[in-house]
Amino acid sequence: MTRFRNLIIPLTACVLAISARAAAPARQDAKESAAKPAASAPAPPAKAEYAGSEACAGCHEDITKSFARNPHFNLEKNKHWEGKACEACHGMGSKHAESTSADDIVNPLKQTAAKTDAICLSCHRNQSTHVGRIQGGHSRSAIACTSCHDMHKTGAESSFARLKRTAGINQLCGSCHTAAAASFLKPHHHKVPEGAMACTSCHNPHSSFMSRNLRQASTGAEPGCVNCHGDKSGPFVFNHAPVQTDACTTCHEPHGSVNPRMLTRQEPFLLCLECHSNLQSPSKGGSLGNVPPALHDMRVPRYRNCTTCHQKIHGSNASKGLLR
Amino acid sequence: MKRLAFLLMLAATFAFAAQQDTAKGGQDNQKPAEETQKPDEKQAAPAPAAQPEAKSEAKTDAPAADAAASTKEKTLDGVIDVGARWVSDVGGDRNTYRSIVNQESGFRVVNLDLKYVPAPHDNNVADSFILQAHSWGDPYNTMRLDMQRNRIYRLTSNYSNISYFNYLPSFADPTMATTGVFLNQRAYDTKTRIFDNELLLLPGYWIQPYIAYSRNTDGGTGISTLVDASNNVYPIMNNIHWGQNIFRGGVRVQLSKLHLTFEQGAMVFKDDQGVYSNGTSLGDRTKPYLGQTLYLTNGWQAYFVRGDGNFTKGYGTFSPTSWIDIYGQIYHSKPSITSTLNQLAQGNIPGATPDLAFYSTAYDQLYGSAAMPRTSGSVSIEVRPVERLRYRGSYEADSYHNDSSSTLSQLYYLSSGLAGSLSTPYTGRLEVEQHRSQNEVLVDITRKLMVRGGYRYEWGSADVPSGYLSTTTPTERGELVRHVGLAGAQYRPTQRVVLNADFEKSNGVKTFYRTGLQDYTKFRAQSRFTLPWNLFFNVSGNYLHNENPDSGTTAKFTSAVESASLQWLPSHHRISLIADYTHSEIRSDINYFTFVPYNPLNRSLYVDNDSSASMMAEIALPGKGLVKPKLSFGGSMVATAGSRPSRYYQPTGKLLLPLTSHVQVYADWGWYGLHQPFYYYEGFRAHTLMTGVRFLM
Repeated sequence: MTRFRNLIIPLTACVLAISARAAAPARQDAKESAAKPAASAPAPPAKAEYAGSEACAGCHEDITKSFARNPHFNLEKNKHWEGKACEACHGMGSKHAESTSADDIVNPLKQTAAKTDAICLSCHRNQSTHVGRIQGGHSRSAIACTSCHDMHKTGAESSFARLKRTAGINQLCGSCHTAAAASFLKPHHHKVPEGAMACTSCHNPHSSFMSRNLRQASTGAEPGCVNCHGDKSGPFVFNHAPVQTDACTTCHEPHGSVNPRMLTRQEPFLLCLECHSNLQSPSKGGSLGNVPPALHDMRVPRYRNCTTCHQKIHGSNASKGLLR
Repeated sequence: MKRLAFLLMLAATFAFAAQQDTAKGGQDNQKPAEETQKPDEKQAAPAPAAQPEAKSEAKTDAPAADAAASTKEKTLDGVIDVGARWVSDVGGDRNTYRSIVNQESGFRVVNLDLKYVPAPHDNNVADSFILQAHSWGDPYNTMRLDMQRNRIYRLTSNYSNISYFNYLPSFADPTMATTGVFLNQRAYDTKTRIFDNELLLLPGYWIQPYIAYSRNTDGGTGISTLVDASNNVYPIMNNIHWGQNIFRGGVRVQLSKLHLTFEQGAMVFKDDQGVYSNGTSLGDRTKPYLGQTLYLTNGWQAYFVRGDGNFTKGYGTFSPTSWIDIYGQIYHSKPSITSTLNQLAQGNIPGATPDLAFYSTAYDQLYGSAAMPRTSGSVSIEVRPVERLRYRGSYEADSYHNDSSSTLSQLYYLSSGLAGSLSTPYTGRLEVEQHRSQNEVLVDITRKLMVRGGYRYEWGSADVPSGYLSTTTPTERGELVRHVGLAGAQYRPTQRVVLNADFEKSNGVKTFYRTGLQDYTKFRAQSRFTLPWNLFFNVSGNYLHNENPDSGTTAKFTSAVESASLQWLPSHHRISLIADYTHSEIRSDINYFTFVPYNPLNRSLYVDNDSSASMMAEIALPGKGLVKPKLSFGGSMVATAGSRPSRYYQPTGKLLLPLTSHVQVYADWGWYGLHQPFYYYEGFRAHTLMTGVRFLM
């Protein structure tokens, strides 16, 4: 029952939102009837119709040429969009073709992110890469699809070509995430600048149920780190609890660090003792692992790199002390 | 979990019902979508919001690239880049150079990126082949194959081979240096190979079966330690062989209102480790232990872990109307392992028995097993009740436990025969449950301003086996309770300027660990400016402050990062410039306790004050005809102060000389230099020079 109570807020919000939506058309109808002009009002503008891609090419020759090498040009062969692929994203273009006014055509780049995404997602929403989209950082921060994907460029400069290459992906991500890109300049880093990994090896820019758009493991719900570091995922006969319950970033800087093994401290013993550091068990705060693991004299240098002896620090199948 | 499964099933049922209705409508009405749309829907999505078939056909994950160009002849595009690298003598510590850079002299396939599109023919194996290879000959190399036949199949294969060399003296017992034997007791010289393959059938159709196979291995040598009951540490050689095979298969259903993926997979796993000594070793004890000099004359260890497991995944999206999206996933996995350890140590070995005796031989044998079933799931919903308002809610749950047991048998021998034995059974259980619920409202106040606000609640519990010295209970229980307020905004005053801000404030009631996020404030701001003359400017800042005010813990953590980048990419292509600068500051201050010497108020203060910059400029030099050389230069530098001061410089320069429209030659110079004053013996510096030829197809 306690758990169920935590669902009350989202359920209530859902009900309210859906009710608001249900009421919206009624309000709109009322508004429209109130504003309905008298019989003497001027006739409404002509309804827009499809103009066809050839009409677009008449003025936008360069764009049409480059678009012909874009994967979306396949729509031209689609039985429903044959001859009008441009209007699949830009909407009906007859009014624009007549007036040549930019106000009479939809330009996704000039829309709000929500509207731009709505255009793209009308086809791409129900795809496996978009599961968890609304929890992803890009969606929450209103980063539109067109921030990374372009439709009209061609050749090596197009996003389609760039995003096929590791270096292109890393360059694109780094152009906004400059702080993350700078971390890879540090001596100990994942081999991203070397081209052995792409940002998308660990992150799914479209969506994720995990924080920081992290990918999940191919074998379960763990973070995608274990896709490469599968020996750290367990199960183990003797667990080191934080490996299972907390993020890898508790001890590691995944992008890069000046500390060996991308650790968050310059020497391992600090990292260990910051948690294993309270006589009370359980502690007053209720946190785990506070009991010091042993009676080592920490003044002696041989004890200062804990992982020299506690070598199976991610979990052991042979030693409770994670010694082997 | 049952509730989640029920919700997913309910969503699927609704989706199928909605799909059938839509299909009926679609058969009746083949007119363009907009004619049947409401005006507000038209505005929100001018694309074909009510054309299910058109949409599902457009829904190819990767349509045949450039297929629309509909060439009648075969085409081969791409680049092949081959060269030879020369590396100077490494100044300073070569092991650190190998641990960080690890580039050596020799021939390299620097880059290969080919795309072949055969002439259209019904009997073609594929409509397009893409083959990419990167850095072959270097310690980090990759290969990718992507081939597909439109609407029949798509095959993607990725291979990467990453050398992992790690031999850092600072990451060891520094007293070992006095013995002159091993400077690093946790060294690795291994290769990780990852091979991923997926075959998708019927891409572009509403139903797409797929199968996948992944193989991930890691093997090589290293230095490990054998630790006796007196904590004497003997560095010994180590052979490592770890591997995992994953088989997956599933089916995707992609309809206009619904996507569902069900996947079933299995995994087999092994982790073998062989440890052996080479000659007599005294370990790292510099003084006798209970009056005895300890030594190891022969030590070996055979460690085998075997595992397997299966997993089931289901995830989907469902859009019952144009203003509701529902997303959900459910995972269940059940991996298990068995382990066997045999260890022999001969010499003068202290026993683990209470009699404090010394033995000539100690033999350990252990059998263990563990299983960790895990079920997790989440469901989220976006509702757009009116055009400018979006509500987003999500709920996630994760539940797993790790049951394990083992029996350790220890036999101790004197020269006269068996002198003692010990049998230690063990059973343990780790049980974790975590939940997260988040509600957020996004409002487009104007066309230029979007704001959002919300609330996240995280809760959970973890029961874990107690530590060695715990005298109270065999298990410990930790709890997690965290309330987080969320806010954010995007302001786009013009098309050329975008400002983003993101704010979180947490009131943590309980956290699993002393260093965990408790009472924290997180702020992130980012701006992007597209200036005239093809100038792009980006400024961002991140701030995080966390405190744990619980009794017995005085933890304060602050991290602040400011970053700026500039790109100048003029359309004449005669010059370009990309530069960035980042300053970050981390300060962590927490007390910790040590028994020996007794001090409950040691202080762990970690400070990292870091400045890093990178720059790359490219200039087109004067030339004639096709011979228009390009010079690029720049590099990166990192300078940190604090707990581990470091200077790491990587300047680089490159000259590219086109000979014909298809052939270019180049020379590439680089320098690597690391200096860490507190660990000066780990510094290194080296020049690299690479010359090569690039063939453009």
